[in-house]
Amino acid sequence: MAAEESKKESRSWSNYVAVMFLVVSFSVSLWRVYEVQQVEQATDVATIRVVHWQLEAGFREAFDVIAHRFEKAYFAETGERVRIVQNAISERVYKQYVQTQGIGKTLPDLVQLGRDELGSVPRFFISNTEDVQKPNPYNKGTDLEDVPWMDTYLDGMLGSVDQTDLEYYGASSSTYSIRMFYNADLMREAFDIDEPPGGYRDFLALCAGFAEWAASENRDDLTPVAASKYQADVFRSMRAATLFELMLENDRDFDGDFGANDEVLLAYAGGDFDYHDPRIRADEMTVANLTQYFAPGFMAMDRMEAQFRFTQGKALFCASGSWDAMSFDSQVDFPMGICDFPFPDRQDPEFGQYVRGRISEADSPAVFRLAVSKFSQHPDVALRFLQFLTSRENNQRFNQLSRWPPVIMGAKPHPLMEPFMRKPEGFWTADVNRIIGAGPCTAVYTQARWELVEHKVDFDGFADMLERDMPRAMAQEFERLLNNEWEERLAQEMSLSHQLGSYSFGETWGEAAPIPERVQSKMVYLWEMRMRRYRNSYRLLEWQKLLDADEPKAHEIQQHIKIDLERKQS
Amino acid sequence: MPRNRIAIILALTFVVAVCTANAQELPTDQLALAWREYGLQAFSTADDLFADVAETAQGETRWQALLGQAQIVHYQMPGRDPEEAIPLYKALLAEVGDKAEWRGQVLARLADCHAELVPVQIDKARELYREALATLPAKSLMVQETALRFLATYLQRPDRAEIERGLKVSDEFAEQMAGTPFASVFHGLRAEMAFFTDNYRALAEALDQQYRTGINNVSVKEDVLFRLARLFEVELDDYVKAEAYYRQLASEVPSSRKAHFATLRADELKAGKLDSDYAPPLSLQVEDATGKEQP
Repeated sequence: MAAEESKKESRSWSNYVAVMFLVVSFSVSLWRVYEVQQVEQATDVATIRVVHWQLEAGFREAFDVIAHRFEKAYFAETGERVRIVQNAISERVYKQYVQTQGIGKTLPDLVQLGRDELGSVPRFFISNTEDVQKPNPYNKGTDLEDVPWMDTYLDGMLGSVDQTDLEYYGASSSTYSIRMFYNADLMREAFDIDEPPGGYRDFLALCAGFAEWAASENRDDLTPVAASKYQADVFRSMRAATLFELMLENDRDFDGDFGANDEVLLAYAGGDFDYHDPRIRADEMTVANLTQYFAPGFMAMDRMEAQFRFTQGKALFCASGSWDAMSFDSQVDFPMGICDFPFPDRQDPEFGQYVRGRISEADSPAVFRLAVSKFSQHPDVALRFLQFLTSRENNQRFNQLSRWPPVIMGAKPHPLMEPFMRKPEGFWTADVNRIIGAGPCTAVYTQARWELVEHKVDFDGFADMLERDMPRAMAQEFERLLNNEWEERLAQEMSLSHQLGSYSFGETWGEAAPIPERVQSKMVYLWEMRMRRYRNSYRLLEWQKLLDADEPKAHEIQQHIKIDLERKQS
Repeated sequence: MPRNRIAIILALTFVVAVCTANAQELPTDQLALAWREYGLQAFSTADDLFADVAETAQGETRWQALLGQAQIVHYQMPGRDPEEAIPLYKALLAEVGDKAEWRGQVLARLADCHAELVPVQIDKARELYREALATLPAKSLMVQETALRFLATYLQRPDRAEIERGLKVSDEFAEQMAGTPFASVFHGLRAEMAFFTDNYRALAEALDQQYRTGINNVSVKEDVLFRLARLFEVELDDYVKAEAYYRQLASEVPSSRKAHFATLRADELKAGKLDSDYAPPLSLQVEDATGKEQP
């Protein structure tokens, strides 16, 4: 009986505790909701909402730090309170989010650009063309004080120009590059060294040595390089400029660019180069020599699986971009090193005679571009925040915290990012296996390259595959090139017709009248691009020359051409 | 009166007031909006707005709307139809009468249509461009713009003789292009004509003029300077000029990926090193050329 009484009593106590717990939890929740509402409905605080897709480790925390600094700085400057609220959205739904919010006129104040529909930027965002030509006020007191905002950027802010209406939209905060990551513990354990050797051959030898060491230690779980199909592409960054002379030799218009254009077709059809060329061999084999040290079945692996293998300490090397550095750094429990790719140099016994140097990173793109939306309640404050974020001091701070490479001149990176700083010295390379993007030539080349990197064929086998399939693929790409060029010229014609309208009638549009000088410079800019869109007649002239000269490859390609080329070009 | 009736009447009054206010939107505001939508490639909205103005407005305001509508038919993609745009431009031409700026502009658009038809009607297009050029007021920038379109017709067909003729015809426009915002583009078009016909001297001259008269687009400037350097180096054997253009490229477009090579090659040329450590050797080419001259 007594036991039953005591059981009842303890049950009623536990009921009381549960009720109390519920009451306290509910009260705390109410209080939190009240607090949020207070902040949301505060009339004396301007809220700037920022939306982006950067979910990488540390990025949002770094952004918050800069946001809080801005809130204080803005209050000190103006006596007005501002609040920056960020919202990171998965990349998978980001594009749809921006598009639907834009159409619904509910876009937040600042939106990361880069996943937008063509033409949607001028529709949903405010141009800052005038502002980028003035100094950034937050660079006051530095040597950038009188420098236009755009010129404080490593890339001259070229990445902020929208190709639809040729205006500047937003400002980027970071850049990126691709490097190799290594497991310093494994390096020491296997070779008693702290850093990998810098040379290409030494690097290959190290990979071979590591595979042998792992076998001798019965460590079947270890592999020299953690890689998947994705990383096989990433490792293409280790190629040196072995194609440089081939490109200049066949560069008919003297602009230095050979590859992914008509010059590939004309040179190939004219017999000026073929896919057995030793310079192409050097270019392709640089990566193919390495893939023998990738884990078996790497082609079936996915990107994350390969990276996981590295962070779990099962691989000596991995390759990725600066965006993954902090995630790697926080996931690994071994000392991790980052180094440049060991590309072949001029002393290389096999490729050296074709090497002209490393590939330049001068055109690494600027990223994390935020733009002010047209639906912002406080566009001036949003713009001011962008200027704050991209002053040298804050760009350095933000990128040091987020572990991304800075984009403003003179901003120093975090030590982890130092190996990622762009190296502009060097040469350039190109795709000498295609005429246009994503066409049949790319398909032929990609298929042959996978066979090569999987060592199912040797280089001659790879070149034979290309020689067999390229004539048909080039014929198709030639047809498409003529068509694309014609269509692009017409698309530019459409933009130009809009500017002609603005030039002729703009002054009658009242408050919406455009600035005449801006219209004029856009017309000139469009013409500067448009005048290169008449190359179809040159191509057809040169093509006829090759046919008249009875070039065998030109005739082989011609057999596969199904349309009237001259009619197609105009 | 019952309350709900009052509410309905008030709501109806509100709707009528709003509609009236909207209807009173100025045609110029509607046109501004229409051109904005046109620029954003929202052609159906733009077309509706142009149609509204064309129905209600008179004179130049109406012509602007009619031109906008014709341009939509002419340029909108997909579905552009220059053939269908021709009667629209012709009708507008009849309305604008002798108004020089209007007449010139509509003639130029008509010429565009003939230049874009399949098969192309180049002669008709040139005739109309000429007429437009003779009609447009001399001070209008449209004169130079139309002249560029006229010259571009010589690049349109794969006919070497015609392209060479275009280069000669362009001489007559040199004076009127000088000092205008389109001067650089004019020389750029001449450069294309010279390049298509392998006239490297004329190409170098035109590219040099293109550069000197001012280029807006940095990547075009990078391109022009590199082409000049390479052209003087490998075709015209003027290594002093080649070096100068390489240096110009490195100093004016320092963010270019070509700047590093340009500096290296300029240093080599300055040192008299024809056979570069980086680019294809020149001495073989010089020997070949010497060999060709021998009987």
